[in-house]
Amino acid sequence: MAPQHYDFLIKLLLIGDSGVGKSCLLLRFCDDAWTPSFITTIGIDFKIRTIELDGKRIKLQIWDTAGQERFRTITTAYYRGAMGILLVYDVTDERSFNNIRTWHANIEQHASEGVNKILIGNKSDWTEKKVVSEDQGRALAQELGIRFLETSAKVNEGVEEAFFTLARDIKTRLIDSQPDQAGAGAGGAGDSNINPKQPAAQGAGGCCS
Amino acid sequence: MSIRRAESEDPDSFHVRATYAQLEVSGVPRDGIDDGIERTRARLGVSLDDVRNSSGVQQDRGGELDEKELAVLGSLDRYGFYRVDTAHDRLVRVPAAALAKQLSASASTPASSSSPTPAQLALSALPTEASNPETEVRRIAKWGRMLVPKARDQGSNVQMWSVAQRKEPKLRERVYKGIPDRWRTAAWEMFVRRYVGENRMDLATLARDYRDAIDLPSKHDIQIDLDVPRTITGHIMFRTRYGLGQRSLFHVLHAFSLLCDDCGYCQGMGPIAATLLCYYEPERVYAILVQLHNGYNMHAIFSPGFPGLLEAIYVQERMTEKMIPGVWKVFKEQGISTTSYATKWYITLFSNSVPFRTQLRLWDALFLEGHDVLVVLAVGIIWGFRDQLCADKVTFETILSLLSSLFVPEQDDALLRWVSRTMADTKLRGEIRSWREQWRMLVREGKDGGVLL
Repeated sequence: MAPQHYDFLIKLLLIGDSGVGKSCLLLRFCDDAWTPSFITTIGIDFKIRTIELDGKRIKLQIWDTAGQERFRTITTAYYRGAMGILLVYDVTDERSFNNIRTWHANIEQHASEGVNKILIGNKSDWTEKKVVSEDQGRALAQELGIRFLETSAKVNEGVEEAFFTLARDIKTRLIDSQPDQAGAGAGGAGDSNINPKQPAAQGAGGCCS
Repeated sequence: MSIRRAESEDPDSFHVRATYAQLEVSGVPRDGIDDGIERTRARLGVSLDDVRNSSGVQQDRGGELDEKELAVLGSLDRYGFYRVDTAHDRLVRVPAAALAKQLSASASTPASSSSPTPAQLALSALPTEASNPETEVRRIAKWGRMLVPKARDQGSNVQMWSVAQRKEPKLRERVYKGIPDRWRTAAWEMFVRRYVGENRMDLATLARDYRDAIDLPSKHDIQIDLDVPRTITGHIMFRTRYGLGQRSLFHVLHAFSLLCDDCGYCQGMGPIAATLLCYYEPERVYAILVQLHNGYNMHAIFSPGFPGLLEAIYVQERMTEKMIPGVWKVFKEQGISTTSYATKWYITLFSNSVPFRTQLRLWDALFLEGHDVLVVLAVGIIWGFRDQLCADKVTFETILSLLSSLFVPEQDDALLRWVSRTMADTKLRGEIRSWREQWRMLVREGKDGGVLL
């Protein structure tokens, strides 16, 4: 048995332009911390947090990616294994918002069919520098047919909600919808298609090309 | 200041370049003490006039230091860090005992069940460096006898060093024992010069190239500016926004981004340049970066698609498969992709993966012996954790958490000794050469897909 017990494993991926705060969101969510002295993510990194949803323990394995375009050759290999994707832009940086369409197109190209998505406008606390309004964010999300939230990793606003919302959507799609899984105990969950001990599901996160 | 926007230059890009140029002239108040003010991120509403009017040293206090300045200066370690960057939440010890054994397939089986678990290897804080001033003083003297001036500048300051002929046999061993920090500036440059070929590094030409590049636009300026304030900001030189260190870093990366059309600017160059800036003035850093690019395979590392990274990963995998088969089996079973943990090792030359003091020791070896050191180090880390990686309870996550950590060798000497012996293994070095060749062949024939883990 794995040292920490959990009923389901959900794999998430953070993407978006360089400097929008992907790593800061992850640090806030997993360690409830914020640091002004963040370092640039090179390649790919990951963190874990186990949450409880409707009485089930769900382990979130969250992959963080480098934002610079050239790293996409490495990071897109991780799209396929993701069950949910957080598309992040910076509300104080219009470029990062305009690039969301490109990131979304990348998902369409590389991620698994039906992957759950959420659009995140980060740095919402920085009101005097804000150039992308909440309405613009919501409108884009609507157009892409995905959820939307503004967050601030710095003052811890909306971060929990963002990850929980996405996790809940995934749970609904992959777990609750399976007739033999609905309402089943932890024992039955062992056979789920996202079981952590199933090699195929494990490998998907780290498989190249 | 006469800086003009180039015709094709993006206005935001120009704003970045002009801001650094303006602050280069005026300086930034309380450089090294305060965090400073952001002027290029979230550009809206900041004009160059604002920058001009609000910059500059505000008041002269006759050289008196206030309490905060004294506190910051008093907290610095010997390298200039006032804070260990906390971005790394995972610090793990690399057990010295594991590195006492030399790399060999027969010795790779897990030693005992008593080896520490990954959780037991975790550290809550970076241990302070053990200092041994007597040893260091002795070594400084030895290096003083070993190196001789090779060229002097107009002011007769030594510009280049070389190794005294009769001391040549001692060089390698002394490098692996650790270059005394005050000799590092001289030694690194000398090693780079030796490694790439004495005539390849004309400092005057490179300095001119650097100065010329400063005045040209670069399409990478916005990205560089994004990364500058998140590069070793725990170091006093890089702390203050647009302070001396950040400006130098920006200018070096800007110039380097114009060197090679393929490479341009790649995230990861930042920590490399910043480390070099702790030892050299910007022109010299540029000159060394050019040599790393041309002579140490960094062109292939930074190029789009990262061909040099994939090659290194291929060699690392072959070496792991052959010499540490137990770990190789676990990696395969668990689906551990090498890119997921080793990408940053190669792209930053281990800058973000070991403490600064260890990084310097590793670079001592890298500059002397070339880029094979990187693959050997990568396998060394895996070798050091072989017991943990082969343990019964190992999972995908425990493996990746361990390998994504900041590695704190229990003894830097143990790691360096291990690297030294592995690098001296001529049979293995020959294999590394042929694995590199094998990979290039696979790429040429289009058979490289799906070969890597």
